[in-house]
Amino acid sequence: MKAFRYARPNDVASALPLLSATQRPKGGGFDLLDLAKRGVASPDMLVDLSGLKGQQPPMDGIDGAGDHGETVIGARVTLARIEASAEVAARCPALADAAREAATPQVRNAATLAGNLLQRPRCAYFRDPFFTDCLKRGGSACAAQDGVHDEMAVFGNAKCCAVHPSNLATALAALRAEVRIVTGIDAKGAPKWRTAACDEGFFVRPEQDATRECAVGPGELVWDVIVPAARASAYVEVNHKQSYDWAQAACCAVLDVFEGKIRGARIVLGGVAPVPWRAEGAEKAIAGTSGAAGALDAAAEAAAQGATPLRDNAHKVRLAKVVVRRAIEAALARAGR
Amino acid sequence: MTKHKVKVGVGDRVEVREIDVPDGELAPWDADTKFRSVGTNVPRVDGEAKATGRAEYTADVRLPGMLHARMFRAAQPGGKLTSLDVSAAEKAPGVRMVRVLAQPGRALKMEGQDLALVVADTEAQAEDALLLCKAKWDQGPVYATPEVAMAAGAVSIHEGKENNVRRAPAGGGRQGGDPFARAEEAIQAADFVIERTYRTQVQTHSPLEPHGIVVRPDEDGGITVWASTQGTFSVRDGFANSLRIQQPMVRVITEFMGGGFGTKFGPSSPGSGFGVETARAAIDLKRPVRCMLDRREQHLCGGNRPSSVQTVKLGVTKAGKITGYTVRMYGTGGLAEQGAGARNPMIYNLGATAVESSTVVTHAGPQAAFRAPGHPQGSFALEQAVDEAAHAIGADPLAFRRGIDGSSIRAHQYEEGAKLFDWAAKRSRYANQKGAVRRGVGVAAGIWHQPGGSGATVLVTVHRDGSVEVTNGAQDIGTGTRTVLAVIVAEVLGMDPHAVRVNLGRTEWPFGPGSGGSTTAPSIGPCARDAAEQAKRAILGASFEGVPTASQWKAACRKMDVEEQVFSGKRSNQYASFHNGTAGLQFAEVEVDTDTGVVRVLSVLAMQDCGRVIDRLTAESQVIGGVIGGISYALFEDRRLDPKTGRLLHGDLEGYRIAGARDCPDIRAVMTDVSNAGNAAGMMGLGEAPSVPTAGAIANAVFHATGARVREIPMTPARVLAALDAAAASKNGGR
Ligand SMILES: Cc1cc2nc3c(=O)[nH]c(=O)nc-3n(C[C@H](O)[C@H](O)[C@H](O)COP(=O)(O)OP(=O)(O)OC[C@H]3O[C@@H](n4cnc5c(N)ncnc54)[C@H](O)[C@@H]3O)c2cc1C
Repeated sequence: MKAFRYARPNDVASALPLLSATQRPKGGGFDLLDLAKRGVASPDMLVDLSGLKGQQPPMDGIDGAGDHGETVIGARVTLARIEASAEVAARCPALADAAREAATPQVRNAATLAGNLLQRPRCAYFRDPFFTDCLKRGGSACAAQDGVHDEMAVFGNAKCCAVHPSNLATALAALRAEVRIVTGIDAKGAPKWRTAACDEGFFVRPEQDATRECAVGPGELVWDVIVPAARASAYVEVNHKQSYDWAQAACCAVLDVFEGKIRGARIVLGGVAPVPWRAEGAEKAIAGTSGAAGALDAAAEAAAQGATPLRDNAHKVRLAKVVVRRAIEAALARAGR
Repeated sequence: MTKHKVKVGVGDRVEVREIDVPDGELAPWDADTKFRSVGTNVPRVDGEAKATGRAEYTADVRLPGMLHARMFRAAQPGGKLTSLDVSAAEKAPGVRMVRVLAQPGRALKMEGQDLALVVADTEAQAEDALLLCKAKWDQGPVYATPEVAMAAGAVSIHEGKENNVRRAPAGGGRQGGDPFARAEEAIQAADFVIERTYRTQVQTHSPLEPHGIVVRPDEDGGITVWASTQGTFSVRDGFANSLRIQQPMVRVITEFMGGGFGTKFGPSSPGSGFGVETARAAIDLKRPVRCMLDRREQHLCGGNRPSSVQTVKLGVTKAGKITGYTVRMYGTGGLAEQGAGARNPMIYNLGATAVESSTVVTHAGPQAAFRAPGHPQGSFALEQAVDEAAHAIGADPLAFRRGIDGSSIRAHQYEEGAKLFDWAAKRSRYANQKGAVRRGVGVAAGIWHQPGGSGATVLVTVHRDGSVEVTNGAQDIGTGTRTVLAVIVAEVLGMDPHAVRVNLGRTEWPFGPGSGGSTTAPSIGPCARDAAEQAKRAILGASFEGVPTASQWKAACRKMDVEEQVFSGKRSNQYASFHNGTAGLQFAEVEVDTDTGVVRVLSVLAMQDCGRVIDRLTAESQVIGGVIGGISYALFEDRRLDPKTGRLLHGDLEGYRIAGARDCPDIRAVMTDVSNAGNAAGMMGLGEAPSVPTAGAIANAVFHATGARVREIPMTPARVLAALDAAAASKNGGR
C-alpha cells in the first residue's frame, strides 16, 4: 500500500480545497483502505470528515422534522444508526431494512451513508490490479464476461457486469431520495450546493462511464441525503451466507396504497445490475391491484423482462423475481399498519 | 507381555477382556476406574491467556533488531520466466537484501511461485519493495481445472512426464484379479443399481494465523525459530537438513499457534520455500528476520484439500443389502502429483468393492494433508450413495445404515442419537411439506483410526514446594493439548488441573509428535499418566493407595532430598483394544428455501467417540469446530481460479466464503465414552473425525426436505435451484 497523508479539517471551507482525484474523503474508511491495500487505488491523502463543524444541517444527524415528512440523513451517519433510528423506521422503513442487511454489526458501527453509496463494486476482477484492462480502470475488456461470473449482473451487463454493491443505493433509488452535494466554496467561504436524484442522474451506468458508479466529482463532497416519506416500503435480499455476505439479489418496493389498493409503486432491484435497476414493468403490473398472488407473479415476471444473463448466472434472474414478490409483500404488510 | 483383566466397552455394552499389556506399561484405565478430573468439564488452562490477548503467537513475536521478509511471487502460471529485475527494489528505502530465487527460463507453474525474497527494516517497506520487482514471462497455456489439464493435447506441467494424470493402482481387490469386474458382477446381481457422480471443490485450510516464522541466528552457530507450526520437531528437522545444522542447535518455539488443519509442517509451506529462505537471510544478515504470509499467499501457497469428481456405482437388494460398490474418481491438488484420491471410508458392509483414483496436475498451489485427508470428499459421495440406496428400496436411511454397519460403537450411537435428535418424529413431521421453505433431516457416519503411538517422552517435574510441571516439546495446535496433559497429571496426583504447569512447544524439551493424523493427545497423554504415576510412587511410596490430599502431597514433597525430581513417562505402541478406530455419527436438520436455493443448517447433533474423554469441554469444542468446518465445506468454501489466467479470484475470506457466526447452527456434541484399553489412558485421536460426515448429512437432509439431490458442493443457490429443477422434472416426466 502506498503511503498517504492524513488530514482532519475542522470545517467544510477548509475541507473542500483538499479534495481531488487522489485526495479522498474518508467515511468509515473500509472501502478506501481495502482498495488501497489491494493496490486498486493509491490515494495521496485521506481527508477525515469526522472533524467538520459549524455547517447546518450537521453531517452526522438524522432529522425527521421535514415539512413533507422527509428525513434528512447526514453523509456521516453510520449504518448502525440508520438501522436503529426510530425516525427512519417510522418514515422510510425500507432504508432501515437495507442498512440492517448490510455487512456485520462491527462494520455497520463505522461504515457511513456516503461511504456505502460510493463504495466500489466487489467484482473480483476489478479488485485485482492484475487485470489491468478492466473497464473500471479505463481499460477496454471485461475479463468476467467469459470468466467466472455466476454472481455478476444479469441486467445492463453488456459492457461491464460488476453489480452495484450498495444496499442503501437500491433503497434510496426506490425511495427517490436526493443527494445534496457540496461542489465548492464561494468567495465568502460558504459552500456551493447541487442536488442529484437517486432515481435519475446520481448513479452512472457503464455505458455512460464505466470508471465510476456515482456522479460525484473528485472535488465534491456528499453532505446529506433527503429521503421522502414512504411507510409502505420494504427492502429484502437473498444471501448465500447469513453472516457477512453481499446480496445475490435485492429489491426495494415503495408502494402507494389507498384503501387496500396499490395506486402506484416504485420497484428497484439491487445486486443484479451495475446500478440500482428500476423494474418499471413490475411497477406497472402491480399498480391498480391489491397485491394478490396473481398480481405478484405478474410483477415478478415483468421484472425479469429484459434480463440478459451470462453463461453461468441465469439463476439470478430467478432470484430477482423472488425478491420482487417478497419486497412487495413486505411493503404491503407495512401499509396495513 | 502381562495379561490384565480389563473392563472395556461402550454404554451398557461392557465386558471384561483379558488383554496382553506390554511389559513396563501400566494397566489401562478401564470402565471401573473412578475419576475425579478425567472426563469432567475443565476450562482450558490457557483460555484466559488466549481470550485476553496475552498469549503470544508467532505473528506477535518482535525481537530487537528484527527485519521483515516478504516474497515476490509469480503473478500467474503457465509461462516461462524471461526476466526478473529487482534492482529498483534493492535501492528502495529500508531494503537490506533481495535474494533472487528464480532464473530466466524457469517454468512458472502456479500463481504465487517464489521468485525473490525481499528483506527490509519494516514489513511495509518490504511490501513496498515488492511493487518495484519486475518479472516478465512468455505466457503459455493455463490449466486451471483438471478437465482442461486432462484434455487431449494438454502438455505436461511437470517436466519429463507424459501428461498430467497420475493414476493410482486400483484398490479393493484382496483376492487378486480385476476388482472392478468382480464388483460389477456383484452389483448386477442386486435388485437396484445406482450410479451417480458426486463433485467436491478445492478447499483451502484458511487457518486464522497464516504460515509464518521468525528466525534468529544465534552466536553459537545455531538458530532459534518461532514458528506457526503443528510440528515443532518437523520444523527443527527441516532446518537441520536444509541448513546443515545439528538438530539440537535448531531451537524451535511454538507456544501458541492459530490453526493448521494439516498444512503446517516443516520450515516452510507446501507451495513456498519462504521459511528456509527467511532463515538463510537471517544467517547472512546476522539479524532476526520475520516472515508471515498474508491471506492471499495463504490461499495460494498454504496447501489445500483437493477437488474430486467421484462416480459411484452400487447394487442394493430389496432386503437392504449392498452387494457391490465401485468408485472411479479424479481430482486435483494443484501441482501435487498425489493426494487427490477421495477416501470412501468403507465403514459399511458394501460387498465387493473396487476403487480407482487419479490425481490430475493443474496450475495451482499443491495440496497438503487437510483434516482427515480424502475423507470428507469420500464421505460426501458414500453417504449420499447409501442414502440413495435406502431411498430406492423405500427404507428409512437410519435403519438402512444400521443394517449394513458392523460397528458396535455406532450401534450405540444410532440408538442414542436417534433418541436425542428425535429422528423418527422429525422424519415424519417433514414428510409432506407444501410451502416454499422446507425442512429435512439427514444422517451420516464417520470413522477415524488414530490411537497414537510410541516415540515421545513426557516429563513430570515435582518441586519441593509441591508444585508440578508437565513438559513435552510438541505444540498445542489449538485443540487443548495443554489442558489434556494437565487433567491427566492432576487426576493421578489429586490436584486441580489448573494448578499443573504445562510446558509445551519447544524442541529443547523431549520429543513429541506433530499434530497430524490426530496423534498428539493419544501419543503424549498416556506418557503423562506414566510419568505422573512414577512421581506418585516415588514421592508417596509404592504402598500409597488412592490420591493424596493437598497437605499429604505437600508434606511428602517437602521431604524430598533433591530440589526437584524429574520423571520421564513413555508409552508403547497401541496394544490390544476393544475397538480399532473411532466412530462418529452426525444428524443434520436443514431448512431449504426452494424459491432461492438457500440452505441453512438449523441444528447438528454429533455423536463422537474418541476412546476415553479426558477433558469433556475441549473434546466437545473439537467436535463443534469440526462440524462448523464441515458446514462451511458443504455450503460455502470454494477456491476458484480464473480459467484463462489461472489467477486466484478471491484472495481473502470474503469472496472465499467461510461460515460465519450466523451460519453456525445449534450444534450439540455428545461424546460417546468408550473404555478401550490399547494404551494407559485409553485415548484415541479426535482431531479429524468430526469434520468428516457433516457435508453428507447436510446433503441427505436437503434431499429429505425437498426431494432434490445436490451432488456437488458447495451448495450454492444456483446448484440447489438446478437440483430442485431436476427433481421436479423427473417427477413430472417419470423415471
Ligand atoms: C465485511 C463487509 C461486508 C459488507 N457487506 C455489505 C453489504 O452486504 N451491503 C452493503 O451495502 N455494503 C456492505 N459492505 C460495505 C460497508 O457497508 C461500507 O459501507 C462500505 O465498505 C464503505 O463505507 P465507509 O463509510 O467505510 O466508506 P469509505 O471507505 O470511507 O468510503 C468509500 C468511498 O466513498 C467516498 N466518500 C466517503 N464519504 C464521502 C463523502 N461524504 N463525500 C464524497 N465521497 C465520500 C470515499 O472517498 C470512498 O471513495 C460491507 C463491508 C464489509 C467490510
